[in-house]
Amino acid sequence: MSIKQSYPVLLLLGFFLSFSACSELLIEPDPTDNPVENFELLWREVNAKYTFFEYKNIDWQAIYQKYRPQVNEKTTDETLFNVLNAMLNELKDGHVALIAPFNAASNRSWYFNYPPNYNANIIDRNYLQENRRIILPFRTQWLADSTVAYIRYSSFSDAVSGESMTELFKYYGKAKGWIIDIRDNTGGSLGNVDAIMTRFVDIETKVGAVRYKIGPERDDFSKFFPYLIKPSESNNKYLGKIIVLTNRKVYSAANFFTSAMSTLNNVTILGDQTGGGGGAPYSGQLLNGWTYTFSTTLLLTPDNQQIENGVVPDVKVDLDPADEAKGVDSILERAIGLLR
Amino acid sequence: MFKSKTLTIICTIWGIMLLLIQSLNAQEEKSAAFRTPLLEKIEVDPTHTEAYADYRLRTVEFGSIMLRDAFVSPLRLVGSGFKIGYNRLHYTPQALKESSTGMFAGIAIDPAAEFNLMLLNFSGQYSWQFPVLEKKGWQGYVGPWAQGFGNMRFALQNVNNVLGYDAGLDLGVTGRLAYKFKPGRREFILTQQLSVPLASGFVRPLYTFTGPILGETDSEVSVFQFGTLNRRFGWIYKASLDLYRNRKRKKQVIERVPYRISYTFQYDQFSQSNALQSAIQTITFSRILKY
Repeated sequence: MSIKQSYPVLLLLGFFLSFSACSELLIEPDPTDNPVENFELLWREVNAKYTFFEYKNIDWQAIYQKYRPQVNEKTTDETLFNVLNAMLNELKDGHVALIAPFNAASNRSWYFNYPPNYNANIIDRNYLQENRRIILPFRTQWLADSTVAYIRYSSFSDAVSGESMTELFKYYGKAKGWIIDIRDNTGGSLGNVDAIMTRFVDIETKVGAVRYKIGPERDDFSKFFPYLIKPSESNNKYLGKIIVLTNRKVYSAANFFTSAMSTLNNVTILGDQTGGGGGAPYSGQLLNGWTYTFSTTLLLTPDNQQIENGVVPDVKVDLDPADEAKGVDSILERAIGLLR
Repeated sequence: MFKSKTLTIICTIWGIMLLLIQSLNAQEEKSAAFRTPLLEKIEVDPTHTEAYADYRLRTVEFGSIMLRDAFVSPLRLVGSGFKIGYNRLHYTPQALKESSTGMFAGIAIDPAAEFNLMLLNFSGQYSWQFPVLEKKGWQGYVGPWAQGFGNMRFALQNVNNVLGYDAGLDLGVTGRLAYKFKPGRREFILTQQLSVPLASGFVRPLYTFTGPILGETDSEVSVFQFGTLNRRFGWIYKASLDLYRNRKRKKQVIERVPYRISYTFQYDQFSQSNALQSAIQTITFSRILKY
């Protein structure tokens, strides 16, 4: 093909290239990766999507004025990380995290400032003991002369199957009561809340509500959606007395589980107030590749009340240091006493 | 995943588009001799409407996608995809009736490949173009244009899986400019076409969450946004090059087979809230089927 003959193909190629450039013009490139732009991007994202500004009475604009002067184009990665982390910490939210290759930070004040109220060694050695029954993901044991079932669930990230719930019922279905210990459970999948609770209800039950951030303005929220638990089709349901043990390190999905369980008449929440985390986290990425998370969802009680700062127990009990020194879990003992 | 009212709206729009295409195609044109872009002279015989030229293209197009979905990520997402399309041009002495349908599927990722978004675009266009220019190899057409569209975007966002979708109907104009030229002994026709909506109606939920857990759909939410051009804008540009490939036997040309290289640029924009911009470019090479 001669040069003259190739004109049409070149012309079409020209259109292709010029329109490729057109998409660059229409959809603006991301800002240049520098500390100032990364700061601005993170501030804007939180400003548009975070769900708890009004509930926590946070002036995000004032926080911008406080931290923005601390960043310029020559700010080092380490300093930028510290400034961004300090800014995010103002939200006092355990779902807020900043992750860089050299560090990952999130707020832990929701449990660091409170007594632990849980001693894993005491539970492991003195209550679960060697002859425990493990029905994954649960660690279980008979207590109080084999009248009360103790069920330890340490993370909502560990999947709960219908089969494991059936096995629980098979071994402990005739117990006088169940103690579900979720202390130090920092959450995971809400799907596991459904998987467990479906065996505790005999009719469809509203146990919470959900609301979503759907736009950049402060009041751009969806309507309230009911969080419903449908009863399992299985006959293996437990409708007897249940006590849920909680402490300040119960967070996120575990926090919602506590709130949802508290709506059932046969359930008592015992221990310390939960840590909170009343939203589901959202992930994003900065221009430099660091990632961040924060809440863009509201998980609420059935009457649309916030649980971001935790769920107050029905019976407040702390771990007694004197009992703890003797290897006794006073929170668990109180629960056993209530079920006897 | 879809609410029933959303499905009803989408099905209604597609139904209207389908009926529109069928009814307009059914009309017959009868007038004097007319030249098609592929240079056949149509001899009009009132009793033989089949004489009108009818070109069809079935295409598999490859291309790129660039988008920014403010809800999913503030960063620009870039990716690639493919489109399956069907295009029909029906030339009559009075007008060119063009209809096309297509489905584009693509995946776009952010610069660090941390997040990805899957996109499905369905569209059907119909236009009725009237000749306005025929001079020294140039042919120009202008006419009304309608488009029915639907888009689905799915992104995995931590524990919230985000599904965005929109569907609507555009009414506007299209303009086509074709140029026939002969560099040496070969023949080419270069065509450019721009379609712009002048009125739009659409529905667009902000946003649907198929979560908060993967596979769980209990907490689905749809907040619909309705609008016209003040909330939506877009256009489609097409450039194509028609050429003949000679089939020879013993150095004798036994058949001239028409082919088309085509390039399409499709831009869509929704403004507030949760602004969305997407640009899809595709290119293809396909045989023109003539009836």
